[in-house]
Amino acid sequence: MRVVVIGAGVIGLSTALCIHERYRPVLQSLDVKVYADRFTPLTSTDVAAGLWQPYISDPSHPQEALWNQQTFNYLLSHINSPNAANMGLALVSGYNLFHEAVPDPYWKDIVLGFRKLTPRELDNFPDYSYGWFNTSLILEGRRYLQWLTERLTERGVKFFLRKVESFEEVARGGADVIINCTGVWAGALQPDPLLQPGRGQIIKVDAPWMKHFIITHDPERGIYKSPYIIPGIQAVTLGGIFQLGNWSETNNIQDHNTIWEGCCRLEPTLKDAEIVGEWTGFRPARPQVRLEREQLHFGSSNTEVIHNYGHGGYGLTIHWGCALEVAKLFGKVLEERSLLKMPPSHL
Amino acid sequence: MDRVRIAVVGAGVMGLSTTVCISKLVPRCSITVISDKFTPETTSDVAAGMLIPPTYPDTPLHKQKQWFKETFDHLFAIANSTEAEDAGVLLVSGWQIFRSIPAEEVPFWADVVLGFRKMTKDELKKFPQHVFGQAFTTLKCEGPVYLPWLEKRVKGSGGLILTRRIEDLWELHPSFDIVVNCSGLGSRQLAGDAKIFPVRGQVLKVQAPWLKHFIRDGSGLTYIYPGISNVTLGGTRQKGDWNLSPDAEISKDILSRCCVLEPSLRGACDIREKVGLRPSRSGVRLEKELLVRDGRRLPVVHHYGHGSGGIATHWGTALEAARLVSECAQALRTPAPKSKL
Repeated sequence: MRVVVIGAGVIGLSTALCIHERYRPVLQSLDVKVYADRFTPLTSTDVAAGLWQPYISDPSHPQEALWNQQTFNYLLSHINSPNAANMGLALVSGYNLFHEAVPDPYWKDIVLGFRKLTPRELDNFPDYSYGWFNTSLILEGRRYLQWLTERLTERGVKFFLRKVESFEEVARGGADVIINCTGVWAGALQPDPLLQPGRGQIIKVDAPWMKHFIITHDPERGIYKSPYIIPGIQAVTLGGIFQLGNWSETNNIQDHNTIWEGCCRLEPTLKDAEIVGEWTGFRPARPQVRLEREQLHFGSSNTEVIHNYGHGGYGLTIHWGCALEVAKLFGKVLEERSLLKMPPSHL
Repeated sequence: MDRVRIAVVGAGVMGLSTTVCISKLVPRCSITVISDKFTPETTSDVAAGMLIPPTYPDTPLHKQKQWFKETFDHLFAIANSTEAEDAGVLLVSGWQIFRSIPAEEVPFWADVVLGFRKMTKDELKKFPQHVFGQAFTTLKCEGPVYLPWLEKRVKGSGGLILTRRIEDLWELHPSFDIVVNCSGLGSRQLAGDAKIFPVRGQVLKVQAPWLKHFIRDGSGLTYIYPGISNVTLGGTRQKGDWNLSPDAEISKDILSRCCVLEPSLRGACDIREKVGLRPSRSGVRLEKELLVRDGRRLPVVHHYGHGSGGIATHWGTALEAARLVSECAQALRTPAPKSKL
């Protein structure tokens, strides 16, 4: 059973790991390979700040709420491990700020200690009149991808730097199942009008006194278009850019100014912070995640494709729940092909 | 008397902050800070500087709360200003956890810190050996950055700094008109105060930048305080112990206790040991005293004995000390036959 995962961002690597962990013990012939034209630190995941936080409105696909929760619980279960920092994982608390009262988000009981902000806390943020405080998690993309790569390498999963031009090419190369984790570039393998780049730009600064995330919301501008400040393990990410349809991969000076002015207004202590980097990435924006099977016929063989892309700005937030779902679908494929002697008890 | 000459003995957080407060309150005075030790070699430099106040048995609770609130409000304004990084002040959230339900579930300072509440069951899962906890946001004020920032303010308002070890407060007469005694443990000798004693604290300063929350065991003996450039791990409370050299066995024990609360600390590196002697007393001594000897008079304002609560209360007590100094200055300036002191 030859599986090829296309894509080496958080979705590709975590899905590969999830499948390997669950099925290698019961399927000796399982062979998993990862094909990608970009590996860390050049993936979209590497640009993400890494804060676990879904969008504040309910997802259009209710399953996504479950996948988010599964991811949070999975990560939280690692928080007391001595290896947590090696995974890029840490607890972080902080503020979500609004111009007016809003309903609580559906994930308020998933995160820890969710509460409304007190008036004294809001005094700190004169442009905002309402907000939440909660404890969540940071999962730093770069560190997590390195950790996933180590885990996969230990298991004998091999990585190949190659640009895949078609599913057919991979199928004719011998793959039985293809896991499509190509993110924002999925349209190149199969047109998807629902998928668009949600271009983001971020500035990383050295500001080690910032221990909290601060995320502002402006419903008129839309998600990620309002300043946000997210501390990482070493540096602090400043952002606030979301441009649908913009494929420009270079940093833009106006966006830089928008981010800088917005974040310094929000947090005046940043004015002297040293800038250590600036990056652009594309959120794979889609009305909902595409997570489904598709059978493709090339010549006489049937190739199973399991799509797992379109996670927008919440890839790290939802990744493990999606990986589990893909593993479930993969299990069905194995059953259909009578490859599974018994269902794995630990699924 | 035109210019009142004031000597402040001690250059820890009390000496420097009192000097700043005096310069704002007392007109026409000159202030000289005199100390044998300056930052980074004071007790204030070893302290983590967390604004979580202790309880002084001999000081009225309303006073303690007032001092803490004044300090908190003062530092909160700095934390939100462009001075924050230069002053070494930051906001930090976290948890104080207990192995058994404490007698006092809501401490006197609960409404001074931000967002104080009981920890939820889910939050407590992180600490399997603990059954109760408090979550809140408070401030951290770091000595090695705050003290130089205060020194700049002292010099900026015309204050002088003098390195000298004072063995007897009378050495300051007649060069100075008022003495402010912020000598901490030094008051055993300088004020003949047997009620002040050291409580030795050993800490580790480590690199663990992924830690964003403080964790404090309710006993106060084990704590993890992330700061701007390192994380302070503690600690010990050794009454009557004057030893300033770090003890390797104690360091191992501190690291081990902290790793129980935060296992990821096994990855901490660049571990440095520090020792400080808390200037402990059953109550802060904040009062005037008129020293008299052979017909000479020396007004003294005592401002010492904050134990483990120095940083947490310093601005409130400094304001009060400055008021006492102002009273002394007024008395000196009043042309009355008898001084009101």
